[in-house]
Amino acid sequence: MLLYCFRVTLIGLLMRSTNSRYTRSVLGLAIISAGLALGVSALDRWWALPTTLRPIVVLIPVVPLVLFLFRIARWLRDLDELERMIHHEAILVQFGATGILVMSYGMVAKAGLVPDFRASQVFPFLWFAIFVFWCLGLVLVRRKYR
Amino acid sequence: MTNRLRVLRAERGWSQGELAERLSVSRQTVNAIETGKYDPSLPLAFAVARLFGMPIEAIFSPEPSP
Repeated sequence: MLLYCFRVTLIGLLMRSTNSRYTRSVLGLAIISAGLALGVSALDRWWALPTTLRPIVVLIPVVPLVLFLFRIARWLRDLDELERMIHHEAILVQFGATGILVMSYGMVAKAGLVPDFRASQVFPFLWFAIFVFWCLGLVLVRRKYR
Repeated sequence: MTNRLRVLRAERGWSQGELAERLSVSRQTVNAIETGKYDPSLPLAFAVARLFGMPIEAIFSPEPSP
């Protein structure tokens, strides 16, 4: 939950200078996704979900996440053109940095130097890393156009 | 790419903020264009040309900035 809160705060920081309509809906969808993830996790733990329903139920939190990404894309399209380019370049930094981080960790883990985590243990941290790298990318790219 | 945006803006006594408002872009965009750090899109270049009542090539030229 703490990571979801961090994510929401980071999104708020990323979108601070833009249309509040988008900020509200993106933050809302991130919170709904976090709430659903917690709800589904509790449901899965305390209730014996039918085997046929289980794959659908556990994927429910992904739905607001998809809408959240579409909303971010809409928000990017409506930005001022320089701001949009800055965000695109920052997303490139974020994509590269996240990929390198995951790949490097995988290689080091394969060599037995660090614990080999399962995907189900690390995915919330991955979201966090994505947004941290987006912020980092923004800081780096903004300096270029200052 | 070089441009005469700063000169044209100064001739009219506009601040970067005022020009940005007239073009519906951010002040940062105007500053980045003036300093040659950013080349505007074609629609924005047309909007600049329309605002100053000049052809695009009188404001922007393809020579690299010094």
